[in-house]
Amino acid sequence: MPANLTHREKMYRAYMEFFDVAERKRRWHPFNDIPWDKLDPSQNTEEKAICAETFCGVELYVPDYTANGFNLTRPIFGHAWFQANWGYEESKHGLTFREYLVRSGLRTEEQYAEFEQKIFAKVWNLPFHTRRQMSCYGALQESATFLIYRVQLEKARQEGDEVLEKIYSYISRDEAAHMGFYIKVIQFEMEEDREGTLADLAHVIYHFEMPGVGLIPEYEERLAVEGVGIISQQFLQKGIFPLLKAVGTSRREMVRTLHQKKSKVPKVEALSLEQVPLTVVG
Amino acid sequence: MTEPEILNLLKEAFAFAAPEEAEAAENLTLEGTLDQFGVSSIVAFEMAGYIEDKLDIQFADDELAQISTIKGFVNLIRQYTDTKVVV
Repeated sequence: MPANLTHREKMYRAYMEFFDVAERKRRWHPFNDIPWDKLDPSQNTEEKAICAETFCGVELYVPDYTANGFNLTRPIFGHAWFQANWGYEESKHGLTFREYLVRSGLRTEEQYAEFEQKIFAKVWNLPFHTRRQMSCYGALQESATFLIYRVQLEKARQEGDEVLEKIYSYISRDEAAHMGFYIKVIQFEMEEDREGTLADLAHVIYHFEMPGVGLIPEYEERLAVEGVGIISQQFLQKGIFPLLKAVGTSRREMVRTLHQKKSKVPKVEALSLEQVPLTVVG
Repeated sequence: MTEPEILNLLKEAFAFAAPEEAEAAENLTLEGTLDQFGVSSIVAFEMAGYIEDKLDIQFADDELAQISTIKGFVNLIRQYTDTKVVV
């Protein structure tokens, strides 16, 4: 659905504010701002490796995320330029996790290359059809990712792991900013078409899966490692419920909407080069 | 409400929220976690809405988010129905 002039103006202002804060307060350099000299092999654990490797794998689909995102957002300057900035920031996350895995010695270059090859053998496709639905998806996905990275940050602090503390601090801050932008988009959509936006939000919540499902090698096994995913109850309490409040709705209204529009629109199936059963995280 | 009555209501709510899991809904018991019975967090969300409408109660979001077992869900419902004042 084409956006009207008011929506375009709102998106432009939202993007300019996002970009301004990002440039002034959030930019960081993966090589200069991470204390790589503080890497301590005695702090290495396979759990840290699996977490970082899994997160890296998800971030490595940035080319697919941005390509699909651009196709959806191209007609709206503010949204398309956010997509460009988002892609840059997420690409830095993947790069940083990659550096961590190899510099720490948790993975050899050959092991990392093998993992990357498996990632690039598959393609991520849009889980939902429209720009509005994908904005709802973005808000949920960034929220879950932020919560997962915050847990990792706290763990790194407790363990005195200065390198991971810095990595997860920068990355979780970026994810929070992304979530904030998507929430603004949903708020704008609610102003324009409350009923339609609620229906889309309900549909996305009902069918939500993290992007790693079906794409990351041995994903189910990885989820068994503490910190790779997020427990459903935590996601409800710290992710979904606050999101509903932030966009001006409630759990009760969402459930009513779910009942009214349950599974009317088919979810787009993710393409992959091998068939993998899709499961819900947590 | 008695525990068996609440459990029956939960079975009803599960079948409503996830009609494709009707068989699993019948097998709900007090022992076990929501995950073990295939009750995802979103299905639990819907079940809560069904139960709230049926019993004219409203769960606090924070309390609802803490539920991970069938017994826990039953206890929450009892908490809200036992304290409800009927005029």
